[in-house]
Amino acid sequence: MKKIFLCIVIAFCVNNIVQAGTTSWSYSNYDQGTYVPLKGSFAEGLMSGGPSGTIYTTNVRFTFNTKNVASIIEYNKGIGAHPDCNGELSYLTVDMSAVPDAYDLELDAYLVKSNLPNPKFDIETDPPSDFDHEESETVVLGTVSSGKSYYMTTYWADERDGGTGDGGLLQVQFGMSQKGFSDYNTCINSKDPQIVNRYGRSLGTY
Amino acid sequence: MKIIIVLLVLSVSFPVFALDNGTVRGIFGSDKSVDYTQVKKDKGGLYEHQKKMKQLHKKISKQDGQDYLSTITFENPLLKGEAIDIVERSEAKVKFTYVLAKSTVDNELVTIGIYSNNEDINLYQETLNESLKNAESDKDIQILGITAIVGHVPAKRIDPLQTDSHVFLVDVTADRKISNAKGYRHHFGWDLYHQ
Repeated sequence: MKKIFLCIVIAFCVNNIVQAGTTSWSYSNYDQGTYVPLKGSFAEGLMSGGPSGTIYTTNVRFTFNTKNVASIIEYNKGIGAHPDCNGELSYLTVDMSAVPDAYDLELDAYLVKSNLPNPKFDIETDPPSDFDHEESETVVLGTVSSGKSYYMTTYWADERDGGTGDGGLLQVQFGMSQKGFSDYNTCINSKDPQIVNRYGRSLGTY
Repeated sequence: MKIIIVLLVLSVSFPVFALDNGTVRGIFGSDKSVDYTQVKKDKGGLYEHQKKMKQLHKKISKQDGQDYLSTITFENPLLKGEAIDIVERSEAKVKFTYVLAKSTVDNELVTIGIYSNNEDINLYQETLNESLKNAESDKDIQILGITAIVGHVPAKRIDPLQTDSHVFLVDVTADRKISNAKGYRHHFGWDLYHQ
């Protein structure tokens, strides 16, 4: 009977993301930007698979209110008092980044998933990291609704081996972007990141 | 009691067996619950844009040795094998693969973006297989198919690619060589699967 129970537990663990380590934000005003949801939450997870054998997942959830939606539509149309975006068509952007403690980034973004309308994704690598991808970005070309729960999840290949500096910070930040040559470039970011959450330096830890 | 436990173990473990067999749970395109004919393809002048692109393809097809950053949108969500065939034939160097899924909880559409930076078709296939397995381990979604691919396509392959029956649009306006030229503003409505 014990063996059967163990089988069930192992099978369950293999097939399910283990959730832990959540954080959130809650604002009482729009100082961060009228397009920034006043509330949201963040969760990390681990699952087996991916290029390194272990996948680290980060998920942000949020809901827009009517003021957010009206503001985002203004940006989309290039109207309203938004001098940072020069009155040009601009689109809501959710940025999820890993900021390593040292030069050596040990998380590598490779998959993004979202229920945001008509999302355009990008995964980027910026100096000093020239191999692993530290940033996943979703630009929302569709029209968001108020009161609906949206999310964005990023899958990272977990390459941490416990070395000094393998840990770092996971950040989520809202902004607005405009079409560049081959991708979208941010014209304004929220005053602060909405999430700043530490990840550990060992494989498969939060 | 033992029968119940065995059934429970089998049901929980099914995805592992499926992956071991090299298959993907929820075969692409088998789901008919989303009516794609309801998507207004002409919204935002998408057909006009397609017409303009076809003229452009003829012009650039003679530029031997050049390649263009292209967004290849499919007529319907494709099976993995169909998408890989198109990538192989077009010699595309794929940067992003867009996959359409739906929530099994509330049927809402979910978009998955898979990054790849592989010039070799075998490596791309490997990346796609692995990433789709990862995505499908989320039991709250059901994958419907591959809807678009973003990558660099050799100029000589673009016109033939546009005539492929699976392809709705090969949009090259995101390429720097085109976006610098007057009159080819990138069209934001190329995606057939979202309003």
